Amino acid sequence: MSDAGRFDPALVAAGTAALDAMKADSPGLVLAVLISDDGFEVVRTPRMGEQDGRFASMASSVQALSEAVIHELQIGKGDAVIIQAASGVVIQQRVPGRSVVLSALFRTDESLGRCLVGVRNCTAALDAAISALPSGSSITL
Amino acid sequence: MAEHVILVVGPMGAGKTTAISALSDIDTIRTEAVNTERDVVDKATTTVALDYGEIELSPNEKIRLYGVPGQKRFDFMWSILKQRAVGMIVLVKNDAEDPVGDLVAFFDEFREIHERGGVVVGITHSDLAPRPTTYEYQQIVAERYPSALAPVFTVDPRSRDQLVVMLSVLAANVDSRAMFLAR
Amino acid sequence: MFASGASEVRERPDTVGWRSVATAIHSMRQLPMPMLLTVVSSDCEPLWVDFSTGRYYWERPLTAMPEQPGGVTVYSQPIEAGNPPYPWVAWRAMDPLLWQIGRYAFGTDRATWMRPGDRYALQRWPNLTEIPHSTEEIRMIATLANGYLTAQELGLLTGADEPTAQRVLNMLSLMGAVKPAGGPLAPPAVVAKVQAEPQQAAAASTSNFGFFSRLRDKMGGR
Repeated sequence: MSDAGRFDPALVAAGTAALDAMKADSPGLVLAVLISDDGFEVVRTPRMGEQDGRFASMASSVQALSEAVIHELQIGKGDAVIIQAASGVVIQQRVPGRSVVLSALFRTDESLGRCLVGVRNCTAALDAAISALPSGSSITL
Repeated sequence: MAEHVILVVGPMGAGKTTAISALSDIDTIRTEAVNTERDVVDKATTTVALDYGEIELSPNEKIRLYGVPGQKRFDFMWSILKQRAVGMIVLVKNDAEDPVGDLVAFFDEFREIHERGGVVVGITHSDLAPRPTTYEYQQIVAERYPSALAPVFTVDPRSRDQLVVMLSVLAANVDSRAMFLAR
Repeated sequence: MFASGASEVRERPDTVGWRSVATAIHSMRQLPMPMLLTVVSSDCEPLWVDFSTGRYYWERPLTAMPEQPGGVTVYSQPIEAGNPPYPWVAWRAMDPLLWQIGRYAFGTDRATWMRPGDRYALQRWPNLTEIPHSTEEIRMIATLANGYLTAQELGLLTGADEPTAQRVLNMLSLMGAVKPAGGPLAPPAVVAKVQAEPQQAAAASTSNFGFFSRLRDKMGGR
């Protein structure tokens, strides 16, 4: 279920552009979803796929739990969450200082380093794009 | 180490996070996120994974309190958390659009916990909406679940004393049931 | 209604203090039509009890309720369904009032409408966050939630003495929170088990409520 209608169209447009750019740069990318902190999907690439919003909700929970662990262990600022499985790697990263998170699934033939670089570049691009939006401050933590 | 896992469940805005903070011995672990559903419940943040608190009964015995997210879209967390629970506190917001529907939905979803342990229902915001009354809720539960005799209390989730009463009743029910089932 | 124990009624007529109020309340609960009860006492403000909505109004807080009010007179009148009386006063839920009247009305004697040896089980929990209660009372109510018991058996399973258990049954009965067994019923197996080892009964009542007791020790509560 895309929840794009609940978000500022300018944010959706910025997210679409950033995710499409990541897709173009990362052949191993299977799915990338930009989610709000509370588990709603802002935009995804490719546009087809899971439609019930479950992945967005799970990604939100995973992000919150990982940040709770970081806080509990007092190990500094969070960077990325990596879930490595036999047939895929999920990498999540918060857009710095924003209440939106990028969650991306890669095939295992893509190196972990390349995946991380792709996600970092995308969140940096999203941060810049959101900063330029008139509504950008409302997406700040 | 003996542990008793107790869930605090209920819809968004019922006071679950507040209740766990009021009861816990430790600083609670929270997973709150900016709430983008202000049209549904007008609060700044919402729990997206769990809240966690502890009550240490002795060096070898703990109550683990888990608060679950209130929204159905996080029901995978409900499935994870309910596996080890011996009891649950259901909080229902009396000034919600359909508080009875909320109670029934959570009762249905977590029915297995009632069947293996205890359940206590807390009605919050009853100062803002006096009805349904605790008596009316108990009638609904009795009609829908004839084998369930769920205590229904009004509660301010900020009040540790009232929450201790609820938790005590839950523990007494768990003990009493075990006593009657013992061979 | 007062079939057995009629001689006791003659010895202690139900026309004194809270006993007369409790008896009137119990009778009135059986009536199908909505009723308003008014209690006038020489040393208290008038008390109204609206059975149609389960509420009462009294200027006096329940914490200031006298154990033995003087010169009590009880009036009852039918009221119109769906049209609660005196809408301008701040009505309150009836449970705390009935709990308190039940405590004072009969002391540790059996309520006049209850018969010796009858078994009772809980049919709804009183709203304990609104009612002053003891740890022992929670234990007894939780026990009644799981089986039909006499006052003697309730005391046996919870470590309370029989008169104390009887008083709790009186209070719950006045509130309509317990129901009598429909006919002769064997005691639950756990009663026989505890009765078989009477010297261990007290210890059993404590160990049966271990989780609860440790929680109350930790969190407080009488």
